[in-house]
Amino acid sequence: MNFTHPFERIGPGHIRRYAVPLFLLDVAVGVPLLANVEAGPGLRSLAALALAGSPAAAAAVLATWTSTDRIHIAFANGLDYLWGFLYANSMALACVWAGRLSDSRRWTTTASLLAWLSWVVAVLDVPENVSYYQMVRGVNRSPYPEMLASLVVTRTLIFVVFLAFLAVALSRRVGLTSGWSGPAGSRATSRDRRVAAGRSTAGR
Amino acid sequence: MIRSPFPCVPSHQWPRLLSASAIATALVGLLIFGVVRAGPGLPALYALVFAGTPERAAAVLGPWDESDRLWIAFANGLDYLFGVLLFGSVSLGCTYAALRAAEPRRQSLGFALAWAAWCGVLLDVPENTSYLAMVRGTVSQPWPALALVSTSLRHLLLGTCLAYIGFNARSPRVGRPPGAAAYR
Repeated sequence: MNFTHPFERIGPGHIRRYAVPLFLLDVAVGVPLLANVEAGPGLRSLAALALAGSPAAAAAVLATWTSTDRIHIAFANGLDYLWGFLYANSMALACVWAGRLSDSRRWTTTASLLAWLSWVVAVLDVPENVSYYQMVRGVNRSPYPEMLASLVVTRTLIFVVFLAFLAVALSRRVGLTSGWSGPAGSRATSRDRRVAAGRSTAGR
Repeated sequence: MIRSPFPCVPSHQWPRLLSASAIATALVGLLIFGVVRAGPGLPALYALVFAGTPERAAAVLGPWDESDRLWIAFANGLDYLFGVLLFGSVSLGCTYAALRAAEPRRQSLGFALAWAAWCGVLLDVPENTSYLAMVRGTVSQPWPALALVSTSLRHLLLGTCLAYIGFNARSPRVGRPPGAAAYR
């Protein structure tokens, strides 16, 4: 089965050209987002709301919030769509980069699947932020707290898998892990060569 | 000679890229429109945008309840994504139109506008910061004036870019074809 991600069309050696600006944008949006949450109820209180799981538990968290806190979280909710778009693409790019570190079919397929999963995470932002916003507005009833908790847990699990994959890739890159099946001293895998060959053919 | 901000787009990808960006912009734009309508409504928001002074801004904000303020705060946050999509599309449109321009000077102008369109995204920062401050209750200068100035500049930039696209996008392609070959 072919799971080729669109970012895999990016030529070998060109990933950095996209990854660096994307990473800088992640920071440029992520820091104000975090600052905004901290200016409101704070990250702990937001996490408590996210993991409340029931209208009663969510109401207990929301009762401690002022109207200014709610405005900050509503704003953060809106901004989170941009941040989700940015970090999902960063994650996908990181997976594509990691996938090129080995020729192993299992490794490259895992990388492609995780790259697709990064985009799924961005889509999951929509019901998650809708749930947050509804509760902040005062519509604190089922299914919003339950949906929010399950989405946050799912997203966190995907993050953990992604980070573990990236950690293995990085350890392979610096030569900490044995069993490395990629071409020694080269970042160009057979897939890269296929991409490059396809490009040169298309250019003729 | 000013270079294109999108040098890697192959010629056959332009229609798909332009349509995808236009559809994404329209979808998020409609969502924001719905959010604003669920809150105080578009005329009230425009009255706040063009208030310019704390007195006028306070008069506009007076009838808004907490729910209206929450809707506008949410729309403010979402507006950053809309800004990226809108000015990204405009930048793409200017580049496409520039690639179809016959004269080199006109092509340079198009590329310059395609780069300048990204300033529209940056202008979102003072604009939305001002709105958020006012919605939070800080209705004092510089926020109303900053909102007015940054919104006006954004609209001016948008109008200029759209006028360029309108004049050039339909012109028959006389110069180099769009795509990677045009940049060599």
